[in-house]
Parts: sequence; structure tokens; C-alpha cells
Amino acid sequence: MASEMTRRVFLKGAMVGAGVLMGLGHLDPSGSSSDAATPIKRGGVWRVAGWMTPPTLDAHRISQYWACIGGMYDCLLSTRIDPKTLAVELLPGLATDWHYEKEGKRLLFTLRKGVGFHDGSKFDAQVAKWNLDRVCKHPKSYLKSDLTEIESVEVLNDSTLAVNLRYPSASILYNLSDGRLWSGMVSKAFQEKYGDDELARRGCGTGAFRYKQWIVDQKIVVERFPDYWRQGEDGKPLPYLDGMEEHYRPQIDKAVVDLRAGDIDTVIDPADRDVPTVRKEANLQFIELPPFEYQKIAIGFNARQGPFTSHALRKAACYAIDRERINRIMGFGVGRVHQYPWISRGQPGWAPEEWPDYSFNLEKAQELAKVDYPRGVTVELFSISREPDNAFAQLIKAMWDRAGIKTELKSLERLGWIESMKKDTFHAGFWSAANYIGGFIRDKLVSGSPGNWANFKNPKVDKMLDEHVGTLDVKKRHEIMKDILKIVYESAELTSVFASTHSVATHKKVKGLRTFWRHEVAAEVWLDA
Amino acid sequence: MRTKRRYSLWLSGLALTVLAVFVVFETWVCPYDPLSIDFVPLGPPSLKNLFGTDELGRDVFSRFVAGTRISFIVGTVSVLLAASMGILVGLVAAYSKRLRALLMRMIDAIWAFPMIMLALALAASLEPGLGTVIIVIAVVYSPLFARVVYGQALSIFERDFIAAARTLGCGPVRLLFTHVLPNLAAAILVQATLSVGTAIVLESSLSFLGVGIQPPTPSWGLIMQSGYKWLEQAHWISILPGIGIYVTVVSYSVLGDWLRIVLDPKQGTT
Repeated sequence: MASEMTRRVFLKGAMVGAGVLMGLGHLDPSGSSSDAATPIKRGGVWRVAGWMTPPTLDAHRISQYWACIGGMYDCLLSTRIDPKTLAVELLPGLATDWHYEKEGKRLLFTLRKGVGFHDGSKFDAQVAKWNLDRVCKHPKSYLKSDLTEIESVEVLNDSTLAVNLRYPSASILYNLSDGRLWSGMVSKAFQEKYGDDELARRGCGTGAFRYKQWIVDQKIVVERFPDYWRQGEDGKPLPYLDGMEEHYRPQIDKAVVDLRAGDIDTVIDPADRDVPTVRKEANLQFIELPPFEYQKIAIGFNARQGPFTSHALRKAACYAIDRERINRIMGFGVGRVHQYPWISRGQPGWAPEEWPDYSFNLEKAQELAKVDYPRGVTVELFSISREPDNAFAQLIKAMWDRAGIKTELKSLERLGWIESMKKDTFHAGFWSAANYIGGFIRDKLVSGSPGNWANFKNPKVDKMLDEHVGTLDVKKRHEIMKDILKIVYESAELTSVFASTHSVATHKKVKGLRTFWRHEVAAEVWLDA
Repeated sequence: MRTKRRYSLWLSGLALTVLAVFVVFETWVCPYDPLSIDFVPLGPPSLKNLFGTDELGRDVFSRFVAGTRISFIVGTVSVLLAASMGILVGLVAAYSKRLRALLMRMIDAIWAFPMIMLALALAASLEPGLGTVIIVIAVVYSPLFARVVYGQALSIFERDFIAAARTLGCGPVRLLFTHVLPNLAAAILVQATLSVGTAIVLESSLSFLGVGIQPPTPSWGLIMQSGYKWLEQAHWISILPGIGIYVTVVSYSVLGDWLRIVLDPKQGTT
């Protein structure tokens, strides 16, 4: 009796099985739902949460990335990331064409016609020149120090701009792209009429969204700009959304609670520990948006004074770190092991097969630790007094202690940590690193640079870094950076532990998510609701 | 009632004895190195890890045992220091009419601040660590002893034997430390016993807030702090040390209460 299969039972089972198979067929292993298959829908307000609040809506005066500000401004160039190779492609933005002249010391831009700002004023070469001058000269411009190659900017005609360079520079194209955001074109008319303060309060660009409201320390609200110049896939002007809100959540785990409750649609860079919870929810998904990543523990060793002047000890410290274990504990299955700071897969210069491999090897670490310090050694590890740095420090200490490198933890407030690193009195310190668009990491490695936290000093590398910036050919640049990093990693003065890719936790109704580099392309987002 | 008191006294005594064993024989009682990260993180309590493991894969029971020593050291030394400072100030204030107002107003000023706020302010302005925690707790608790000693000393100064000692030419130092202080021993002992428990709580609070004992040194407060982010997934990390703090404070309170009754001739029964 129990084994009898009635027709009704069989049909029921078949229908259930077919439904399961259909559901599985829609699952995208990359984590995003099949956006391409679903027809684009217009309308709706996208609610995003991030852990930082912008200090200003003036593109030239910000130093971080926000999706809403990215939606308010366009740059001369745009970017697109190849999903397979993770290479960054430069595309026309407000400039439709560009090329170098005079052996790379002059850049000519052909500007897009018919583009207007949110206040109705026109974008042309005069306005573009005013913008570039402002970015290069404004006392609060964050991009100023990255555009020192610009000598002058000339207007040739209404739609042609010439940028004269002090030296050939390949990085300038990336710095003037959406990938860096901070060179976004700002309305000259608005700034001249209302001043810097009002521009900081309301912003005025050519982007798909324009200012609507800003409740400081709570949220920024922007609405669609009906005269935006870019077209969507449906042939109508972007954006697809009616508006967006970017909410400030200093404790990003609370933002995930709001996401689960339905009060937020997307959380930017959720904490790794919340990702398993997000993955369990049926209507949420976790999407990684490479190639930008946070390299969570980038360790610098002081090779100029103290115990880490010993090359063997530096290598011992690198080998002693069980990166897989730290990644499992602190990465929660989201991060991945990454031992080469400041660079990542797909970026010019990436060549791990040619660099030393410091994968975990306790025996080797113990052996190397005894080379110059047969009776043992005590080192200090500097960290910033905050979470998760305190946890990272304890993990590294436990691993170094096991390798025979007795470690004392020095946990300092951020300013105290910066001072100690700058004074070069540290033995070893760690911070959170990242990769940079185009692989231009000169200020992270060149001697004396403020961004060179470990005070890495190598005259040969300095020369190679200058050569790298001035090399316009991508393949040649790749070779130079590969060799630079070979020197750096062979010296074992820098290493990292694991990396987490830029990511979002989002409701499945949010479609079209991609990034310029570090912030989302809000104009292309739509809601399938 | 007497029987109830006896049971609570015995239980408290047992708890404090167990904790004392942890303090003295820490190295033998700890099954694992408190700093070692050998286990699967956030593991629940089991036979292998009695109190489970924390977020870094450390055995919570080993850290709890190691933390017992830290807590007891802090509790005992800081109270001893507080008692020393408080007794001195209280005795001098009771003896000297000229200095009385100044000293007691200083004590009142320190006492007026909420204890945790004062401790936080002091600890944040010094380099965090064990020494700082002891000094901070001693400063914050000294007014307690000063007031007890001052009040009791004032009434002792009215007694005949003090007048007799003065008549016989007893100097102020000898008067205070040979005649007055021994008569305050009971009150001081009771206050000290009660204070050790609350000093342990204050140390845990400072460590929890990040201005006390620094990681990776295990302290009950630090263990609770590392666990509060994981209350949903791994409640044992915070709850078990929390129970330890509770048991310690209650045990000290019961002990102090018993001492107060025993040493008070009007109430005392053995």
C-alpha cells in the first residue's frame, strides 16, 4: 500500500520538481539576479545606506565616494570594468575624444555638445577649463596633489580643450575619469552666483540626478534630472529611477538590519560578518563589485631601524602569518587571501607568478627568525585603537609569537599612530590598504610621500615610479609596475593578509548595479518592483 | 534566617575559594594558553572548551581563569591603595581642625562625581594598562574610606582613653596610629571587603569601555566586550564571564555583611 504511486501523487511531485528546477535555473552563481533577462522598469526611489556622510556636495572638495554624488556629476572620461579580466576601460564621458600631442606633453579633449547643468547653464570648453583650474588650484581640492602634471589649460574653441602637461602622464586620464569622481564638472554659473558654500550645500553638475534635499548626518535626497544627456538601453534618457536617497549609517551593521526590515534597498560595503545573514534571506543578495577592494591588513616593516632591519626577520614575519586562518576568522568566507598590498588581479602590474610567495610556512618562519636573532627577539606591532584592528593585532601577535617573534602590541589613537609611523619609530605597523585605478600607486611607495605609511625608501623604485607615471603605453606600464613590485615584495617590507572586494548587500529588486571603480553607477540602476 | 545566612555564607566562601584557586594555580587550572588561537571561532561550550571559544578561536574558560587573577590583583591592590589614602586623609581631617574643612571638601568634590565618569576621565588621560586601572580605582574609592574613617574617628576622639593618652603626652602620630586606628579596624575591614567586589566591577567596566586592561591580556571586562557583538551567535562569550563577575561581587557582599555583623559587638554572633 505504502509503495503505491497514484497518478495524482505522481503529477504533484512532477510539478514540484519542475518548479524547483525552474527556480534553480534562475540562480546566478555570481550572486546577482539575471538583470539581462528582465525588461527595464522606470520609476521608483532607490534607498542606499553607507557608513560615511559627505562633508560637501561640491565634487572638487570631497575625498571619498558616494553613489548619490557620483550620480550628480559627470567627468570628462567615463570607465567600464571588464567583468572577466577586471581591466578598466576608459570611455567617452563629457569628452567624446582625446589624444596626446607633443610627445605626451599635451592632451586634447573634444567635448560633448548639448550638455547642460542642473541650473540650466551650458557645458562647454570655457566651463571645462574653469573646472580644471579650480580642481588644480582650489585650496580644498582633494585631487590637486594628483594633478601636479597640469601646467595650463587652454580653450581652443567651444568644444576643444587643450591641457598642457609638465611631463607626460598616463595617470591624468584616470584622474579625470568617473573612476576618481573628484574631477566632476561643476556649474561655473552656479558657483559664481551662489558661492562655494551654497555649492557645497546643494551641488550642481551635469549628472543624471540633481539635488533635492540634504538632512545633514541623516540622508541626501536627489531626483532625476530630466535633461540628462545619456540614453538608457530603452532609448530614453537616463536615469531609470525617479530619485535616490543615500542614508548615513555610521554603524553599518544597523544598516543591514534596516535592509532586512525593508527600510533600505541597498547597503554599501556591509560588514563581512553580516554577509552570511544576508545570503540566508530569500529576497536579499550579496553582490561583489570588483576590482576595487579593501586590503584589510597591510603590514609595513621598518627596515631602517629596529629588529626588522633584518631581512630574514621580515621574511619570517611574512611566512608566520596564516592568512587562510585569519581570512576564515575575520573574513567570514567573504574575503580572500591576498599577500600583495596596493595591487590586485586585473590591474596593470599584476604578476604574482613573478613575485615571492610568502604563503604560511611556520617551520620556515621559525628558521628565518633565528638567523639574525638566535636567542629570540621582541618586536612592537603598532595598530590603531579601533575594531577590527584590535582583533587583527591579536591574531598577528599570536602567530608571530608562535614563530618565535615575541610581539608587544601598541594600540594608539589614529593621530598618535600616524605620528609614530611618520617619525619612523615603529617596528611594524598595519593599516587598511586598497588598490588604485589604473595601478597608479606612486604616492604609496615613493620616498617621503604622505601616503607611504611604511616609509618605504628605494631610490631605484623612485625612478621607476616616475617612469611608470610618464609611460603612456599600457603594456610597458604593466612591465614597469611588475618590476617595481617585485623589488618591493622581495624586500619583504610590505605584505598583506586578506582582501574584501567592494560589495553591496541588496534587495533582489535592485537591478543594473555596477561601479565606475569604487562607487555605483546610480544612473543605470533600476527597480524591478 | 540564621540558617539562610549560613547557607549563603558557605556558598560565598566556596565561590571565593574556587576563584582563589584559579588565582593561585592559574597555570595548572588553565587547560590551554589563554592567548592561543587554536580553536574554531565562536564554538559553543563543550567538553573540550568548557566555556566555548571566542571570535578569534581562543578558549573562553582559559581566558576566564587568567582574567580571575587580573581582576583579583586589581581589586585587592586598588582597594589597599584606596584604603591607605583614605585612612590617612580621614585621620588627619578628624584630628586637625585647621585642615578638616579643606580635606573634607576635597573628598566631597571627588565623591560628587559619578564614579564611572571620574574613572573614565582619569583613565583616558593616562596610558591604558594595569597600573592605570589600579591608580584610577584607588583614587575613585579613597573618598569612601576617608569618610568612613573620618566619621568613626571623630566619635573615637571623644572617648576617655584618647583624653588620657593626650594627658600622658602622646604625640599626634602615635595617638592616631596606636590608639585611634586599631579601633577603626573593623569598619575599615568591612568597607574593604565590600569594595573589592565593586572594584572588580569597575575594572571590568573600564576594560569594556576600552580604557582599562588592553588586549590581548585577558580581563573579564575585555572578554565581555569582545563577546557583546556576538550575543546573537555566541552568547556564552559574554554571559559566562558576566556570571563570574556577579558571583564574585555577591560573594564579597555576603562576606562583608557577615564581617559587619560579627565584628559589631551589638549584633555579633559567631
